[in-house]
Amino acid sequence: MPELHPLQAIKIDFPDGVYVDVRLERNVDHRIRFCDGELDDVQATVETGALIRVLREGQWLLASTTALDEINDVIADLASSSVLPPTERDVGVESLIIHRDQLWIFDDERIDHQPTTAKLDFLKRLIPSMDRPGIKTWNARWLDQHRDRRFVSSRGADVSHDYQECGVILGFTLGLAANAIQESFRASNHRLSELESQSERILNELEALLDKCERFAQEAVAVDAGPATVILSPMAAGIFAHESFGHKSEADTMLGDPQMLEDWKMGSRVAAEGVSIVDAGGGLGSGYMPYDDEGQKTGQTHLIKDGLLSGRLHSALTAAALGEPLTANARAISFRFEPIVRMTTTIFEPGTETRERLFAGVDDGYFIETVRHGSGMSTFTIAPGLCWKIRHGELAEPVRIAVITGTVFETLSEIDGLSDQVEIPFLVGGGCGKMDQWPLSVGFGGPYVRVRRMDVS
Amino acid sequence: MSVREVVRVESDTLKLGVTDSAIASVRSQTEVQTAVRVMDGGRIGLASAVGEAALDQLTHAARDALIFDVPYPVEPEQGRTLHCEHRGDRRSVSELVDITTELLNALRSEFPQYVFSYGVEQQRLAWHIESDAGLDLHYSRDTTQLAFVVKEKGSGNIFDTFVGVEGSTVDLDATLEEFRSHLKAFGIPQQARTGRQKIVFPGLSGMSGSGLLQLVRSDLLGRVYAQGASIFDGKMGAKEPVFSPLLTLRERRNPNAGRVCPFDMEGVVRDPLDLEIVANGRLISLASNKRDAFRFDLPHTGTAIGDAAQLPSSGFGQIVADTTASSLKDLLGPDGGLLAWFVAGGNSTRAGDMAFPTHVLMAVDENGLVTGRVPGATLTGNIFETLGSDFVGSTAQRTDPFSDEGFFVAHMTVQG
Repeated sequence: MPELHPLQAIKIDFPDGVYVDVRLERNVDHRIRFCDGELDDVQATVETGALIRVLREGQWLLASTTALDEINDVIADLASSSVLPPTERDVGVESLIIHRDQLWIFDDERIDHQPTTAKLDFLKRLIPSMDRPGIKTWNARWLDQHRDRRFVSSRGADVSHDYQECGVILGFTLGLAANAIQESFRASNHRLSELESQSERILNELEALLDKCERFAQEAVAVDAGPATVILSPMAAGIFAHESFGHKSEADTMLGDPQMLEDWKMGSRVAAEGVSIVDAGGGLGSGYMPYDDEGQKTGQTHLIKDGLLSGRLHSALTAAALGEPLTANARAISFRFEPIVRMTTTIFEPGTETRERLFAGVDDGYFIETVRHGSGMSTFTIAPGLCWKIRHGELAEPVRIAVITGTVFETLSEIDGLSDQVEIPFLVGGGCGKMDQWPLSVGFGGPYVRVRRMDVS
Repeated sequence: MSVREVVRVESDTLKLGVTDSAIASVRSQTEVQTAVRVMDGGRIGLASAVGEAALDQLTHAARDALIFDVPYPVEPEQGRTLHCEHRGDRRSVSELVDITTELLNALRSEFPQYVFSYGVEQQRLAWHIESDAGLDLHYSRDTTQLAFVVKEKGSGNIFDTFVGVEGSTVDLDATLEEFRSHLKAFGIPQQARTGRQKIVFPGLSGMSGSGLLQLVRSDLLGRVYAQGASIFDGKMGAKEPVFSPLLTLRERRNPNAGRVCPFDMEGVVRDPLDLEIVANGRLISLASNKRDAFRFDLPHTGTAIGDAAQLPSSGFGQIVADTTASSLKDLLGPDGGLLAWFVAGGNSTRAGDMAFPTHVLMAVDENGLVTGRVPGATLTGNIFETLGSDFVGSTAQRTDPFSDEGFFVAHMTVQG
């Protein structure tokens, strides 16, 4: 039986006169890939490492290492370094709440202890679905990751927790030449047994997606570019929430810009009435993060509440700089990187309409069902996959749309309906990128969201 | 015959984090990744580890992985020795802090309307492939990157533009001059220019230029082409050019022409090193590594990519265009052009239609000088036209003093 939590055994010596925190990680990843019917890759990666942060005279000195037996030497070196001039800057470590906790919630069925053959078998069950005449090329991937994390600090914090996810991605090109569509199907969960118990549903969903793609390849027409009413699926809405407003709510973008703080006063109207966006890290799913990478317990932060600006996402540094409460959003993709302000699970909260009534309110528009990727600055961009014309409240023919774009605030103010049920897709693989840190597991979702005007091309 | 290959990747990184226009952190990182591939009986097994690893343990694990029967029905490379280095700056922490401080002091003083963040990174990256079949390949390069995300105070944006240079060696004065040129122009708003315009891409590897080649990379994969799933289906080797007769694209592996590694991830060293993908508008080569070439009965083009922890897959590395002009001035008429400085979230359809939302779009005059910024817009085109009749040319003039790439110019439609 493998040792479960070797990170707990590591003893850290904290020197006097400096603040030190150490984030220890053990990461295990497995990948299996089939390409066009042939097993193409089976890989396992194990890495153990630590990021050491020493705060000396107002300046951060950091080092990442995979030699865990040398951590105390690294701390001593950093603590004696005077490479940066002293500053009086408050970086917020005094406000960090000291937690001592262990949250090993995946010990009952660690994905890194499951046999590769079981994962291979699960993937193989889905592969026969790729045997459709319209599918020209495909790949099927199994991905899983298990992360053990421990955060300790010279102020007494000692927090350990784990995260894991597993799932499949089947990517395919269906149809010929200009009429072809490239799509992917994902199914994910935290445990292999959870995936296996849902295998029939997963297979049915895959077949249903393939049916839609076949129809798309045969019938899709080019979009009439221009402004249009659009209904976003929960996945598309989640990406929109993440890209359009989530990134704007990360407070590190406001450092050194008092004018922006003035313009972004809490209580300002930033969206239509009834629109609320919330970021929360405690719930299970791909954005699960019970403690952030500064040892702070995650909670729930409303970014927009009923159309009004109501919160921002913070690390210790940004909370201190802006004089606002900590929100436990300091995250790093691995021990190689320092924590920066990141989202966890970001969603639109539900509205009051049924899905049917929401669609009934569109005489002429589009439904964005799947999304390939998104990005956002002052304008956001979503690259859709499957899209459908809405005519007189009903889904009509499939439509080829390259991108939908809009100005963030104008688009948020154009939302005139949200359905009453939230869906949060669990997405294995991929994630959010910021600066040089990609991919970070995040969650996003929402209800169906109707926007009166978005630019479609 | 059983062959063991050992792939070792070493990195040594020093990074200065910049927040609110000042150095806020120093981070060092040293890492070693080792992978062992065992090829035996037409199969391949792989095991890898981050950190110092015992080779015999990894070899044992790689042999165990043969049980999965991952096919490798080709001969591994053998009997080749090649060592190549791109040496560059290796500054001490203090020296890097000094140069960054000097740069930030100048930027804060000359451009107080902006907040600078992100950072400066110095990295030595080395990779080795050795095998008991006599493969002994080594490549390393030093890179220094000075890059700042730039936010205009009060703009309400996450960021507004960026400035950055990267090279084996970077010089403070030339860097500052480069940043000044962009930031001065960025501060001069100009009217939107829509419709058909000459679009200038700063190379084909960066954020904007790489989108232009997205379909080339995905649809010239040997596996995709062989299945009839490529948008270029039936066009490989055809006598009639698919793109402009002016256009020649190569996958660069010649270390004398750019900071590239001369061997691929299967240890293949091509002769000649560079691979013509498109020659005078005609499609010439697919990306097919040894495995894909064997499986799909395609020419093997030495295009194995991937990191050490994975089995090599097929794909192109750095793609460059042969030059057709010495400078931007030679390609731009009296109306100048628009420099696609920051593109994010582009997409394409299977008909070859492309759309690139461009967040930072700069006006360029007839002499190729950046003169101002125009509002962000979406660039649209079709790959067969953008690289075909709409292709204008590519320059010998580098995109900045430290780059090994030239500008690429094509007509596209700007949608405001």
